[in-house]
Amino acid sequence: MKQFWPLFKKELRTYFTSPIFYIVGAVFLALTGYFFINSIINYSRMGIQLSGSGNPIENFNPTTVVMKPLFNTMGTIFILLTPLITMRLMAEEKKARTMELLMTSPVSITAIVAAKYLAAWIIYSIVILSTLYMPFVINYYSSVVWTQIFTGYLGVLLLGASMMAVGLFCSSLTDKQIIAAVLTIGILVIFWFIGGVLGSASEELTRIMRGLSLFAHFDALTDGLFDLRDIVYLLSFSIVALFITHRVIDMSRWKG
Amino acid sequence: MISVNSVTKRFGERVAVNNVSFTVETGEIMGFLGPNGAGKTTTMRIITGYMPPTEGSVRVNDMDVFEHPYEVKRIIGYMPEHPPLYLEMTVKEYLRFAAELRGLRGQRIKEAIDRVVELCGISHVFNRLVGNLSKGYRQRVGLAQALVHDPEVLVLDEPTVGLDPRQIVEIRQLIKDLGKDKTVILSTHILQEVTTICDSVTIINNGKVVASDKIENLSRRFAEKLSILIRVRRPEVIDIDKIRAIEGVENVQWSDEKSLRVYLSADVDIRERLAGEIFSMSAGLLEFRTETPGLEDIFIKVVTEELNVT
Repeated sequence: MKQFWPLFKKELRTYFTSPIFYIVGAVFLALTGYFFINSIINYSRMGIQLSGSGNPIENFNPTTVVMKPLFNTMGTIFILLTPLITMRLMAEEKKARTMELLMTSPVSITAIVAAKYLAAWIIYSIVILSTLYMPFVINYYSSVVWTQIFTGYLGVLLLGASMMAVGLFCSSLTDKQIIAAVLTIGILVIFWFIGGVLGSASEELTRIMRGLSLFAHFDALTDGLFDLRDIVYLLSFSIVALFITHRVIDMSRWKG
Repeated sequence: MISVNSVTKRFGERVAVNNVSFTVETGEIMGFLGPNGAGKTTTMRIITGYMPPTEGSVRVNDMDVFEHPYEVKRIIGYMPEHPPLYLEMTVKEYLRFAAELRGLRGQRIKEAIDRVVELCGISHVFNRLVGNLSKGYRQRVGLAQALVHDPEVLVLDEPTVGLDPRQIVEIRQLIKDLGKDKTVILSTHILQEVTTICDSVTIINNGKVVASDKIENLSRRFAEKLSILIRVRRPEVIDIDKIRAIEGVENVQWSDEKSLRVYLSADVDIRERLAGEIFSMSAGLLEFRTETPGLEDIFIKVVTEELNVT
């Protein structure tokens, strides 16, 4: 991990001095804000309707009805926003030939990968955690199940860890940001929907596909289920993607 | 000290560098010459540890570049052909980053930056964005980056491209000063640059070293081509056969209507006799000049000879 800090500081500074971070943040907050208000209105309407029916519905509380769908929305929005954060990470270094500076300095590839990855994930986390006002607003007027809020956010942050790793990997494959972006979206869409579209296939296959799906593991966490297997899956997904990224960068040295 | 030992680099089928060997001593500036695509940049990238060779090894100050990559990279300053700049940073931020990457910390960073800013003459653009600088200044920032950690070994890939004539003189002087106690490899297309600042020269063509020696040795080696140019006012009175008869003259040719080129065969100094002969012909001697082969002639000779062989 030689020279991790200077690289990490540089990456973070690049995010904060470029407009992309602010644009991603603004778009994300606007979208989630819209869905948040929508869910709240929906929740109160359903509340009024249900109060007349006399049949209590299981799990009818703001955490499940408002926050859980919002966590899903956050994940879905970030399928599209992830490349905006990650596409330049390696592609730009190659395009601007600054890779030559990094690779001829006493810097390890591990440090380069780790610094870029962590910086991207921190940017992602800042954007995600800026929605923390939502549970507090709900809690002010009603009440939330804080443990579920916690596992929900943990799920979103771990999902982001996987998404950033995929983005960084795609960025290491090319010197064109747009190609990195399209690849990232492609891979994320596959891993997001892989578990959901196989209803007609055999049960065994569906089970395997669900096991591979990012969404399935993330979904369990937003339900408030703290299962170590989901956490291990999301973490190992990231580590594998980062390992491949390391190999790709190392191999590109041989090709010149 | 840099020693390159039988380095070969293949990209698939293509051989970019073929069994290249040379040595550059400490305190020596070596000019690295070759036509476009000869393998200069690839060789330099291998020396700096940017890419591994397919075969062979490179040692810098007696350390193998690929066995001790971090130690070697710490003492090498590399300025690639395209300066590796972050356009969105200011010069100050960029140099600070470059210094930190090379492992400098704390107060030493500030001292190092002050030193290179002074050396490369970029103090008045210090707080400007690199992206807003002209090509010449970007080039200087690229050089400052290579010098910031005061490396013992400098590898410069065409450092004066894009500079104006005054800047070229300044940068050449700077490299010459640096070369007194450092090991410097300088790749360039400008042969005059090599003659003015380099101690030795390595010429590479098609990935192979075709000449590698001190500049004066190379000149001597190619000195069999030594010739004398004689310009006279009355060419009609010159008796070529008489000149041919002088011992040591190999050939005589008119190079234009008033100038005669006399090719000499060996080291025999016949200038006095030759001048006397012309004088006795009363041809009206206007100019009498020994032509030693310049680096340009040597370069063209070795590169075309190589072409003829292959």
